Amino acid sequence: MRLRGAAATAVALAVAGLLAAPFLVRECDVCEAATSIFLSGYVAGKCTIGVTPDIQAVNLAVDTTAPQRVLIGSVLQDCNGTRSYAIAVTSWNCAAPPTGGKLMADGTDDYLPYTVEFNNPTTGGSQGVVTNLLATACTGQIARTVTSHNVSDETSTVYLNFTGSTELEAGTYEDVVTISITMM
Amino acid sequence: MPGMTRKKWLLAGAAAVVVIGTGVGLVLRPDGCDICQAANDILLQGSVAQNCTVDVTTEAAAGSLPLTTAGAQRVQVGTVLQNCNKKVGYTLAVTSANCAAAPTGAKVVDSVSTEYLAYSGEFANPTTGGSTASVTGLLASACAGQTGRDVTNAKIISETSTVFVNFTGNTGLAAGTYQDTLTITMNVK
Repeated sequence: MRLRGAAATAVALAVAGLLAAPFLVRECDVCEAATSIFLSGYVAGKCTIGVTPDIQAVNLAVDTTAPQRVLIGSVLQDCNGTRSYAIAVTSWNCAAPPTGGKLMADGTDDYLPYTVEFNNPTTGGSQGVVTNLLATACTGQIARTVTSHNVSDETSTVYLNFTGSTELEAGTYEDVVTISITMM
Repeated sequence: MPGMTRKKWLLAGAAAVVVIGTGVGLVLRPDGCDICQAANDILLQGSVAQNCTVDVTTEAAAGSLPLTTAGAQRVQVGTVLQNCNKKVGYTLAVTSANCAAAPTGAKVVDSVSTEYLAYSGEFANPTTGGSTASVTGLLASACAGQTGRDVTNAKIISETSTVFVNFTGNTGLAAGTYQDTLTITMNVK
């Protein structure tokens, strides 16, 4: 019984010592520390256009003698910067004399002049309707200017304006209109 | 126009939505944009069909030729309205129904008496495309290769040639009805 009583006492002292030890000994150089992780993401500026030609663009009634305004395509625009961008128009045949947009055919000197028209959303101060593009000049033909605005899925529609002629020589009259977007 | 192959590609993709950013001119700039420029094309195309026609108008005088009037006769028998939007040009050929019968050459014939009166054709032409203004002696002694007008390197829009027949009347012709038929054909080169 005494042994049992002594053992019980020793155990009790050991437990008490363990519980008391942290409060009795405090020997650490850096007892608390904190640091941080810098999180960062980068979204690059990205301006894109998706040009969808309309089937009418390759079925122009060039020999119909009346003023015609033909939908030739649409231009879907996305630009995630708050900077500005411009959409410009050029044409393959424009620089050939006489200067200006025109449909031309192989093997003949005949041609049919045209102008390009853009119908735009007015976001970012864009002009709603821009006409006479490529009428007499081949460069600096700005179809839309968006100033300091984020543009998401906006569409401009593109028209061709011309007057057909019954005096054109037989043949296939062609040109290619190039639409470009430039972030400024 | 250069780049026909490129245009065929454009035509093939005309109905597709083309998202710029792949295969077009991308310019990488260090100042914060991955896609700073992009471009794409729209092919424009229209066709003008070949349209070369002749429209012959017969003069009343063609049906009442003064066959028995002595002397040289020059009678306007018709006009030929021409349109041709092929700049390469064309020829107007003239043939006659009676030409090949002996003696070879154009002639109006009375089918009952079989008597005939020889004649030749004449075209008076505008000079567009290098055409000869006056072409005479047509069908006089040959039936094939008789060209009333030859147009080269010119579009012709509503031009008219005038057709005459030249003959010498014969007071000794047997009574009857003398006939022939002229055929005018446009051949595009």
